Amino acid sequence: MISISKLLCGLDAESDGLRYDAADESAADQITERKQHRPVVVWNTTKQCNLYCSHCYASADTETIPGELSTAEGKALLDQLADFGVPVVLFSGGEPLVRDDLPELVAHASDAGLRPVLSTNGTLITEENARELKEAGLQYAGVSVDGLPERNDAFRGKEGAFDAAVRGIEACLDAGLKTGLRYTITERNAADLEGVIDLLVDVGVDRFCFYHLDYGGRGKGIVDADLEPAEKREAVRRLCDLTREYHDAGEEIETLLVGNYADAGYLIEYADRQLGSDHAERIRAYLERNGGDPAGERVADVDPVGNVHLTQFWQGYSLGNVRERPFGDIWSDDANPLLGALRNREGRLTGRCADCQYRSLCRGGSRLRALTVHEDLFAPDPQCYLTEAEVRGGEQVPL
Amino acid sequence: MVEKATRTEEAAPRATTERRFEVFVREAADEPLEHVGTVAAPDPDTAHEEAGKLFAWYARDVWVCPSGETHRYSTYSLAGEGDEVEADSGGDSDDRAPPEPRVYEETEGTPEVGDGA
Ligand code: SF4
Repeated sequence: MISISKLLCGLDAESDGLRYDAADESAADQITERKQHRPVVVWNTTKQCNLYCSHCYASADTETIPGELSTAEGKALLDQLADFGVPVVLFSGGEPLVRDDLPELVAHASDAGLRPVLSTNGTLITEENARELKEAGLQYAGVSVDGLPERNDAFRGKEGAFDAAVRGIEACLDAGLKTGLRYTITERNAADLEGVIDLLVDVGVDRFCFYHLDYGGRGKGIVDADLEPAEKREAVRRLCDLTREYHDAGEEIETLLVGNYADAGYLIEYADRQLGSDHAERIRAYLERNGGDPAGERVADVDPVGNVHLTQFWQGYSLGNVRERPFGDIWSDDANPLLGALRNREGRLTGRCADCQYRSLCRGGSRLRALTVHEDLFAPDPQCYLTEAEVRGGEQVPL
Repeated sequence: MVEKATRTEEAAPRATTERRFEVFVREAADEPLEHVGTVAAPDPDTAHEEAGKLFAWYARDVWVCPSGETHRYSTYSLAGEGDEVEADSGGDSDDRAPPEPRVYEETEGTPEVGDGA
């Protein structure tokens, strides 16, 4: 997760407290040293969802699946995560609000010392359950919207989904819950970026997370809907420009990029051209501490039946199951050769990543995309949008 | 006298979208097989292919076994739930039950573990 607003406009990003990236948390008093080395854990609490989105990484469906973790097992899992020093648990799905015990689980997480945050499609949020979740200790709700109304509803498979999500966002904001947008950028909705931000700023949203498409779950089936690298570059540039325009107009919106660490290199290039080399160097120094692509290190995922994954998008492979071993033991199992390789991946990267000047900031980007497209765990991320000149360094190319 | 460990069968499914296969790899002929997780796949050949992409650089042998046909007995239980079953010690006398090495650092959900003392 890379905060455009923080890096370009120096905002004190809320994500320091909510974020996925451990290095950022060094500034937050309540986050201990140990927690900096522990992953943020996404828990897909159920496979059931009231929508059917075409890019859903969890391949969510209309029904629950046999063997989803019970309330008691969920609480035991949360205790394990807290004992292991996990800083943040992200309740996800499916749609987590279809679980009646969600407030109970959120309260348990909060009491155990975890920061509970929520990823939801927003359409089931009411004034009542928003208040209940806030009282249970929920710290943040990320609501998925993927375009202006018509496009969002087509993507999400339900007419009225956009309006329902906005009502959910309003209910969260009324309950005093920090609330932000989650937006997965594809070629179907890239044109709506500015429109959605403008519309939701009016609703009161000030945090916007833009996800690059990862190739897991149903996302794997829509690789073709991903932007071409040049289009991706253009979309990120527009977000950088827009963030600065809002900032210059006195609106302190927070904009973040998730899921493609070529963004790290691009932001440095952007700052170098637009804000000067000193600013670019400060960004570089900050991102050096950030750690690059987090798969297998700073983010983990537990699916509805307890399988532990390297990221929430990488559902095809599981390291083990929390019904067999405690989460911490699975995550710390150095005997797993894949886990070891991912945690020491820099020396294994091939192709242009091997010689890239941003390799230590990016770490080759998404290993899942490399695996999906090249069938090679250490091949370059096919969605790296930096030019050859930027990868090599030493000469400036147009932004 | 060695206290006999009590294990519980944990029979919950592992599949979320399609079948899952337990993956075992061996790095060299004189090494034991290691369990390295599971992959989702419709059949053993695809499971081998998927596992191969992840471990081919490392492993001499890759075995895949259907997760749904694996019976798992353990002294560990996530929330202390489930039916208890007696460990199969290979005989009918406690005296012949072999002492079992255990790691006791994790205590959550492992109330049934005998400490061998
Ligand atoms: S070339 Fe590789 S390491 Fe460099 S920015 Fe692109 S994906 Fe990252």
